[in-house]
Amino acid sequence: MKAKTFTKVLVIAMLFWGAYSTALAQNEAAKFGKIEESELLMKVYDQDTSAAAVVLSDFGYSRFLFANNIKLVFERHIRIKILKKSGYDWADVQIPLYRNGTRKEVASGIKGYTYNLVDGKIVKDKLESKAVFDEKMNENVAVKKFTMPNVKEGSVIEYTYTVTSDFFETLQDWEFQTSIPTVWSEYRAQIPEYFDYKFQFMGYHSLHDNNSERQAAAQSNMMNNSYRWVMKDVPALREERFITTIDDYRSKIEFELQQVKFPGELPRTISGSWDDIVKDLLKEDQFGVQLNRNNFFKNELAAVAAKYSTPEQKLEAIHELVKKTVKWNGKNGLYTTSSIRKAYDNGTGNVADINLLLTSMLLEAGFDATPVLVSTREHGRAFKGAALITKFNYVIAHVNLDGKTYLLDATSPLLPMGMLPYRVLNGEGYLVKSKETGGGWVPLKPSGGYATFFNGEVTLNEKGEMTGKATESHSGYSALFKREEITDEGEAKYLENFTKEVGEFKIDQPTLDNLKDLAGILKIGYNITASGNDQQNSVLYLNPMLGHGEKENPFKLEKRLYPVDFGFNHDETYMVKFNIPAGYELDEIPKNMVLSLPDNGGKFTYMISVQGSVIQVLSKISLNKPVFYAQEYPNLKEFYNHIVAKHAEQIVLKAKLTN
Amino acid sequence: MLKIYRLIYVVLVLAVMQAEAVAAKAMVAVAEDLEKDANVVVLSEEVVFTVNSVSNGTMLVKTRIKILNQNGQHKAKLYVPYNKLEKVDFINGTSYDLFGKKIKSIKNKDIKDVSAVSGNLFDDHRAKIADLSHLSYPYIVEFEYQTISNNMLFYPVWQPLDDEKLSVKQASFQVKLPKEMKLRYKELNLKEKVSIGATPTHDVYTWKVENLTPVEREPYGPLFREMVPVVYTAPSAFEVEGYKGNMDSWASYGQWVNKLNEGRGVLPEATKQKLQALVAGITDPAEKVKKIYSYLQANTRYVSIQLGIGGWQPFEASFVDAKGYGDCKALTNYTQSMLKAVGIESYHALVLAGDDMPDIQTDFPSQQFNHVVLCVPMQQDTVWLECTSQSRSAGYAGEFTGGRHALLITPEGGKVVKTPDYSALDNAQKRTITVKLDEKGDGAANIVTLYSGIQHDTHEGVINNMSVEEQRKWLYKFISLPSFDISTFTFDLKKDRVPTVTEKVDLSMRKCVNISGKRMFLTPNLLNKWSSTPPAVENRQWEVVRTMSFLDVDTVVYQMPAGYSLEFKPDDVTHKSVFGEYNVTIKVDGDKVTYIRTLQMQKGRYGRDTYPALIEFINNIVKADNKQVVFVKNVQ
Repeated sequence: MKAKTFTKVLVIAMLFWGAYSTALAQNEAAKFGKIEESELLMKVYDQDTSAAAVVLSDFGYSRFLFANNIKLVFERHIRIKILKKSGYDWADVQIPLYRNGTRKEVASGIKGYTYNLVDGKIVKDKLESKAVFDEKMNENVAVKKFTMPNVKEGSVIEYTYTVTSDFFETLQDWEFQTSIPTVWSEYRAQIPEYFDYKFQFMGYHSLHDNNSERQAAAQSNMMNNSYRWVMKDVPALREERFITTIDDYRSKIEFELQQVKFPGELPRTISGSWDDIVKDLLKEDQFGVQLNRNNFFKNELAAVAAKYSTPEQKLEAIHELVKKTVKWNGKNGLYTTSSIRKAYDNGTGNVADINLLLTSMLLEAGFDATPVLVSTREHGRAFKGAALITKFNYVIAHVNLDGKTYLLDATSPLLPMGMLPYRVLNGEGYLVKSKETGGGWVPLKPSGGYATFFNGEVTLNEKGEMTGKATESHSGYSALFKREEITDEGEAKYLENFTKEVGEFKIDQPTLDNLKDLAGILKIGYNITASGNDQQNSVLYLNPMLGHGEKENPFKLEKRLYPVDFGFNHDETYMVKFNIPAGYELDEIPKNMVLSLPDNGGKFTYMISVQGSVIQVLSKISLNKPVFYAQEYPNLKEFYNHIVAKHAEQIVLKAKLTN
Repeated sequence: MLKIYRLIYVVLVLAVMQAEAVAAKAMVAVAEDLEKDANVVVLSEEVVFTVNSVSNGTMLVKTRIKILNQNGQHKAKLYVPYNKLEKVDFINGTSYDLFGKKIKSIKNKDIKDVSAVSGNLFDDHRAKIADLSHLSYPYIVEFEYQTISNNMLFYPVWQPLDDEKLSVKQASFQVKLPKEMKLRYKELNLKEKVSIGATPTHDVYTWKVENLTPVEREPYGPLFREMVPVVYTAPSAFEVEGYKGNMDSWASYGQWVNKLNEGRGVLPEATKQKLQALVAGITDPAEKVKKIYSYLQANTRYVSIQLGIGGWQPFEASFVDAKGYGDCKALTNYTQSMLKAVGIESYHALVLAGDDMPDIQTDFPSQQFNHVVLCVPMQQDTVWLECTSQSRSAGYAGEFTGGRHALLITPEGGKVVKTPDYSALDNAQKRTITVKLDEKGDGAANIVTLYSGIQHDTHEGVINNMSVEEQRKWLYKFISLPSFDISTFTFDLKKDRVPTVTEKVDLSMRKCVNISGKRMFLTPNLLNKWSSTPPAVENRQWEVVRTMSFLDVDTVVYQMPAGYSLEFKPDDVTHKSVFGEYNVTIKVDGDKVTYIRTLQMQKGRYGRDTYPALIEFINNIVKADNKQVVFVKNVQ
């Protein structure tokens, strides 16, 4: 009896396995128009049952055409299974096409079908050409837009298109991973021997297949190098908190043209070693040329030289001068808009305008200053492996002064000298100098971390009422963020909103110190009062954190795939002195605690000391590094569990027996 | 007698002199007031709208604006929308420094041309952008531009104070229209009413405002548009792409919409038969509607393609039937045709949708809508169908289209009706939690919550749009507890006129109660603690507006670890105010603590002097929500 049931189960299991395997255990990219019934029968994707849609097959092929001009042809064919209504967005397609002057990208051969199973039969609906729209987004970008017909839960859609591009130096990158799972993703490229491309792989998933061969091109004596890269069963890419950009964790391949060598011509280096990049950049009109001797700010520099004596003061004065004279227009970039002179005259510019102006002025004033190439956090990590200029989108200045180095950025008026904005805190940058003269990677270390200090003194009476004063001090990034917040809101409005009553506590008469003095510690002082219960209490309960404790663990999820990247260290100190009413004694008091993360990664100190009628409370949380790896996540989570629990503990006071 | 006259005379003179002094002072004060709390001062603005015919009009705008600081920068960027029916004739612009020295003039090549709606799959709405941003403040920008429109469905809505932290020195709005035509208008919050003049060929209507200081929004205040001067204008007779209409009444506007929809509801015979088969055997019309609506939800999806007749003519029903997609008009029209095929009459209903939108001006027939839904009158009740959603419950309007006026397009024309409104009892959150605590203070909780009406909306989205993995992440974010792990969770969505979601979560908590030495501290309100109060506002200007009624009931039963006895229990509290009622009872029975909290609040508009009472009411809730029960360990 039992055995029979077992066989039945096994048969059913095998039946399902059969259906599953034909649908998904594929070993090649799908062929356009050849749809399997099993693909339509599929109800869930077994490897990720929560997926709203699955890319069954994604195939791309790039090759070169030699006609009057060199053209790059990119063909794509993608097939997607729609599993849930929330996957419908995958049926709306946009193909962006770039244009610059007369050079452009053109899309052609757009074909598509939606497949549905109706009464056991495969029914296909064609994407009609009149349902494809053109929309011009701006001068440089136009978009082909279309939507697939008759999409339902269970549909399979597929479409194919070709993009022919005049930008032959930009070989299409390929993303193997997207926000839904991908069963099969394959990219091929046929690259003529004349072009030397550098490949850059990224992500956490490995290649399933990878091969290349060399063969002669038809009717020509040119040789082609053909490549094929395949990934299988790629999981969906999901966002998490405290990361640089999700793109840093995506499995993809990127290309950069290094060198072009046509027969009978000398090789033309497009990009190569770091030294080549440096050399090219220094010759570039909108980069290196801008750093050459400039005279237009001679008078300003002379004034600085006359006013300040030490080099450090001069450095600070020049930084201040650039910040004041040229305002950032919010745009990143490695190259100046036109010239630094123009930016100086207009009083506005992009990152390169401002920071190359800064570098140029510093050079002129006799400093050992060098531009540093940076990739911002949103732009993703700059890889050290390949010398790729496109990996950078930002530039700052580096100064070497008597063996001490400074990293300078003049784009934000609230940034003190030597501090980098949060967006720049991303690994390392490249110092634009030849290797011989000291070029290379420099860590984009934050000068100082995120530091807060709460200092208060509070007097408690027998009704449970409290009165006192507190000062919150902010330095480093905490000061920067606070200054930005206050400047945004306006000082008066900020202080007005600061005054409030929340529950038992009332905060009023706030004062602000050092808002404008960027090097100084920003201080916010105020009065605290708390209402009691209008009666004499024999027992008084007191939460010593006064509402400033960690209330929830910031790390709630069980697992973490990516590093926790804060950008900077943390230091949060809390100190309060409580004066307890006469006639009361301590009944209960939280125990002291010192907790450390491995390798001095962080420390939590909690101490209470009592002297007569004064209770002194200290809590200090330090995180001594900006990045914690995924393996360290459980420790970090547990660290905060202890802090949250400790911060909830209370002090109990009891009226002394009078007789 | 004479004496008295003289006295009166003297008093009068004094009064006049005083009045003059006050006026002079006011003039000076106004100049200062305009820049105080402002980012931008509109020094002058002239808008002239000339109606050339029932189907064509020209708008000429001249502005001179002083940008005071960085936060006013966006006003140096002129954004002129256009589309197939509305063209931009010209744009000129120049910026000056405070000494009147020219900074920059806009050249044609500086004017950017962009798509105006990026999210839409396709529509022809575009915009021209002229940017005179400058980075040293203050500075002055002048713009002059003209647009020509063949879409006379819309006459301008004039709102000179169109932003916070913006003041207006002087602004005027003029409508010129041919003598044989009639202008319709409505004025709101306007000190000075219209003045009407004429030229030999045209009637000229002029509105003017001056010295408007910035209007600041207040917490729990009305919408910005309700606080500032506005002039609505609309045509009487109009024409769009050959479709003639009249807006004198809602009825006649509805007639025009009927004309647009005419002949667009034809379904293929095969589809009709399929639908009739689908409802065969069902007698209850409400059930038939549900059947057709779920057919719609399973077979179509919303795709925004806004083309033709100013975006107001739907695709034909046969197109949607073939392609399985359409925009709100097309899907509504399709659903109407399908219902008709099974013998049920229904009507398009135009609404101004959105959860933070003012209601329409019901006494001013004009095109004030942005969305269409379907209204199915039933014998008992009316069913409202949102045809763009693949998941919404049949008959539920929610915050997007509920609680407001809509224009029903009946065969006789337009008729203003109200969409369903949701009471506190409809928008409920009823939660029951049992918690078992151990001697370390850790606990296991079983949480069952019923969300209904508007309180179910977020969950509906989570259920329909998130994968199980994302739902788990969302729960971690949504549940506010110091430290916990979710072991299991389920959601159960029940579609109805007032839909509900039952959420069940089992989780384990670290340090649910805090044990310090011999004491144990329990904050019995586990999951519904209020923690912030609205800021105090000196000299409250505007009435207090609450936009949603709701009822929250929380019952939490704790099984405490053995060996403790009660030391302190907060008193039961009741707080009543015009805004609602709050109740908490805490019962301690041996090692069992039962906490019951009820909070019911009403939507409504209350006088501005009630604001301190609102703060007090909310702060009382914050205080009570954070109260703790204290136990002390029994001496062995």
